Amino acid sequence: MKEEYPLVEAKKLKKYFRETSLLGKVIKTTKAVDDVSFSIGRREKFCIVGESGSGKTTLARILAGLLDYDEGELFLDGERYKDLLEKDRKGFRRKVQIIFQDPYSSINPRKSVREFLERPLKLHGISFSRSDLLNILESVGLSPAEEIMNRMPWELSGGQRQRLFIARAISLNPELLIADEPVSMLDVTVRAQILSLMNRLYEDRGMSIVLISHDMLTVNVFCDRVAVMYLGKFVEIGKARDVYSSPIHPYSELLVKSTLKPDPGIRGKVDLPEKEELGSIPAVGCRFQPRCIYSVQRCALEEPILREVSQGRSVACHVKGVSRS
Amino acid sequence: MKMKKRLRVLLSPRNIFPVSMLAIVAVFAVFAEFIAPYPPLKTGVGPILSPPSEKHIMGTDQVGSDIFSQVVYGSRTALFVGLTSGLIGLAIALSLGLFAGYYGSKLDMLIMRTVDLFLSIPVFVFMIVLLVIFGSNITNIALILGLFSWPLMTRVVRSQSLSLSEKEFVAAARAIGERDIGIIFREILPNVWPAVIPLFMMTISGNIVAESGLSFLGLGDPNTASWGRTLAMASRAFYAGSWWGILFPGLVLTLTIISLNLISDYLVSLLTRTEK
Repeated sequence: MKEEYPLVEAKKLKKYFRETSLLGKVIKTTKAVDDVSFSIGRREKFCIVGESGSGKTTLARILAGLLDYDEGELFLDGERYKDLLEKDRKGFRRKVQIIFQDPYSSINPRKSVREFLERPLKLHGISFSRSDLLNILESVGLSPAEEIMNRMPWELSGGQRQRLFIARAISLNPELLIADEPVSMLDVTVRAQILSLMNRLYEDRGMSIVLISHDMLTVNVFCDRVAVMYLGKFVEIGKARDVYSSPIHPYSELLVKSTLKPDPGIRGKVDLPEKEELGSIPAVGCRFQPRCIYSVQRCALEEPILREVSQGRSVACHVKGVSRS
Repeated sequence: MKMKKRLRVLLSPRNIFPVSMLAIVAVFAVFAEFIAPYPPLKTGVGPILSPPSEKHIMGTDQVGSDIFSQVVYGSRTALFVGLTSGLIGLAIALSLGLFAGYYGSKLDMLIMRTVDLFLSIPVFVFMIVLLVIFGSNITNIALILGLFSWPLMTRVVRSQSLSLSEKEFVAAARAIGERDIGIIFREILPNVWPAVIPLFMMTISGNIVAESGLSFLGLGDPNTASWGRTLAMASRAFYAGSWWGILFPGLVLTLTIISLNLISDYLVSLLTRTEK
């Protein structure tokens, strides 16, 4: 292990989706990931938070090696993703695993639990016994494992499916586990169970976790560090606790205020720091400016860059992002 | 346990008719030599145009051949041609459709335009031309029917493969290190069957009818018994009162086709069940 490198390092990562006409002319470009830089340490629980359309799922897929990036560089243990995938594809796959959002579409309906679980082990030539499989199932809280192993996917609930998927992901002992909204499709009661399962696996195995979420509350509970993503860009990075308790960027503030408070006294309109109508993505200036209540003239003219405002805390905002020293 | 259960379902009242019908045809096809009382094409094994009797349970035709023997040997022809051509078509459809749908782009375009071409031409005329060129025997009929059976199946396989390749379980398979070929055969193919099997069965029954049609027109294998050939003979003797020459082979052909379609329904329900 090369300890001198962070586990993952992204430098000016870009991924644009281009819609082309029949003649190959670009009609529309979607900047799903636009010039994003960050690093993830070992044993770190890193969160990427943002609303749908912010590009967080695209970023998750890039991190999982399922999608190519257009520009910039991405390193795992100091080695380029592209080189790793070319030279040591299997090694890379063992190190990096991903959990998807929808356990109803991420498990092949025609494979039994056993087949589903065995496949990665067979693929990577890892010898295993029946009791190994049972142990894996038990370790994610699927019991009676003996009986579950012979079931078909449709005989499992959503929470059980997600547990099964997690079981397969961790069976390869990954160093990096990416979880793309692993609980957002599940019942509220099951969400906490799955998150605490992931937390326990983290404690036991000490892999790094990237959690993709749209919910600041989940982020605050689960993560060490958080990056707030808006329309392809990181607008704020910092310790999860700090960002949740005192968000700096107006968008982070919006996300934090959007979380549900366990207080039935709050009824009616929650006071969200947002302009009424949603603007389109501006050609120049800050992307969030059309929705921002703090915007000044400069915001419409110049795109703010991510700047460090305090130790380990960076914000991209002209108004709020000024150093508070 | 499971096998017993499957057997019970297979022989449930709903399936009892098609299963036994196809079983009879299959037994005819395999054991024709032992079941048929006479050589099927031999003339003068009985009186001319004899109605069903003890010696000739389905009667005889105008040259004194035994119709029951022709039906029995005709089962062999029908099943051989139907299955061979169906499997050829399926093999082509899977190897083209799975890859076209998964990889897309130019390969997909090329394959799909070829499918359109094949679907737009009058296939029967082409088959007749090919049979005239290469000579009519049962193997050639099966091959030619097979070579014209793939387009529709390919289209269905391709569209399934395309939509399945976007599913998350495909991405999940890639994430554990599965290669494209593994994804296509392990993840996509098992989910393609429910859509293809009815079409496959339809192709088999369609090709059985096509072979009978060709034989009826006199384009069949002259040395092989076929339901269509028996029907052709009988159609010329119909006004002489020979109803049995039309009824028996016609009935067997019709019931076989119906059974194939019923079984295909059952197979689909078996493959798409989501609960026990």
